[in-house]
Amino acid sequence: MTIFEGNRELLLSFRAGDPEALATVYWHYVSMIERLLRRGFQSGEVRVPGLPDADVRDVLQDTFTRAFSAKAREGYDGLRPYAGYLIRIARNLVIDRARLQGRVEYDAEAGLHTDAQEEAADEVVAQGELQAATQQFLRGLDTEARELVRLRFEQERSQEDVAAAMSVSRRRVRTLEQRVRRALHEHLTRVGLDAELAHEHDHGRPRPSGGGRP
Amino acid sequence: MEGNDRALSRLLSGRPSLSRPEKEEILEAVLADVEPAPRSESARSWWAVLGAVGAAAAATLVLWVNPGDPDAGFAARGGTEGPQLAAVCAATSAVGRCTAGGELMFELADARRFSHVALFAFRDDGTALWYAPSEQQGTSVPIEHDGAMVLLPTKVRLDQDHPPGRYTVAAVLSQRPLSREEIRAAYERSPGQGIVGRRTSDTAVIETEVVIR
Repeated sequence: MTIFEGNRELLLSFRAGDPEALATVYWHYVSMIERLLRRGFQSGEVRVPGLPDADVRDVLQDTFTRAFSAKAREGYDGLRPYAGYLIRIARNLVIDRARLQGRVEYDAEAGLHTDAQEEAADEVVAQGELQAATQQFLRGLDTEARELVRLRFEQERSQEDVAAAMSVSRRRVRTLEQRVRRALHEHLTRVGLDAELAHEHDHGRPRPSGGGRP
Repeated sequence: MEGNDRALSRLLSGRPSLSRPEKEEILEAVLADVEPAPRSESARSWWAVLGAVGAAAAATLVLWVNPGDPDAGFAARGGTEGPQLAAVCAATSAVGRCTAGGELMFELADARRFSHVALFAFRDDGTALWYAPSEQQGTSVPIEHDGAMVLLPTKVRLDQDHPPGRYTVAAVLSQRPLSREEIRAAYERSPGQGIVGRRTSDTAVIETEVVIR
């Protein structure tokens, strides 16, 4: 069922480009599209592998930027399943990127390339160490900070929702969030995992938004 | 987010996928590339625009003038004592930045000694934009205190009167309802940069900056 079914007001706001409506649609579909990008998909008889982590953010942003363009919004009639529309955009972007990177031919039986598998193994080890250290860090947090982590990061709630759930101000939530991240960084540095953290950071390089401002 | 914040956020989420803050960052970038919604009559009902008062856009927090306590002195510019104002983008929860077409909300902190507030903003070209009180309201609006932090009911749609640029949002806090003339007078009496500070009636002026893209 599309998000717009039975919600004409949302559809009209979305087509008009209302940022809150766009945000509503985004939050409804973003996790689904991210999973698609990471897992890959079948294209006919060919298996298209998932994207490396460094590319997921870029393609996710591109997917929604295209889907939310004025032409795309105005052209959407609200009847077709919106998920299918987003998936088509995402898949085309993944295929285009694979072609640009030279991964043109896919052997459905071979699966992932060997190089990618080796790199993945190293990353799994590092990720495991980081996660273990993080769990150790979390066990040492006070009640308030632990609740913030649970609501904001584990349950992926907005700052506004977290503030309401914890009966604190949004400013307090922002402050706590920054403190917890800083404290985790210090903890990882103390246990000698700052290099692994930096490696994780390098794979998540930010990409600025494009031009196109009025 | 800066530095290792993305990686730290993912570790805290316990999943290798994008964290909530990362997804919010992506949404902000997406909205920055989207053409704003066209002006509509419903948007008009959320705010009222008047003519110019004229002031150059200033940066960040301003003084808090505390006339009730003769020994209080003044909080330095950018200090954390006294009332504080934050402008929050409704769609992304970002503080101090939003996209054209979006909606701004306002948070007030540590302002319990004041019962009323007026809100307005200055564009880079000096044009003043009244947010509260509206012409119909006439006087500064009551603050419904509920804890140290208050989310004001005033919301502002960033339509064609809010082109991309830097804005100074000002709040005049008072212990009684003020007319627009009194609000202007209180604001014009407040110290500018190079703070000195002085005693006035029971009002305080605070500012914050917003960047609209």
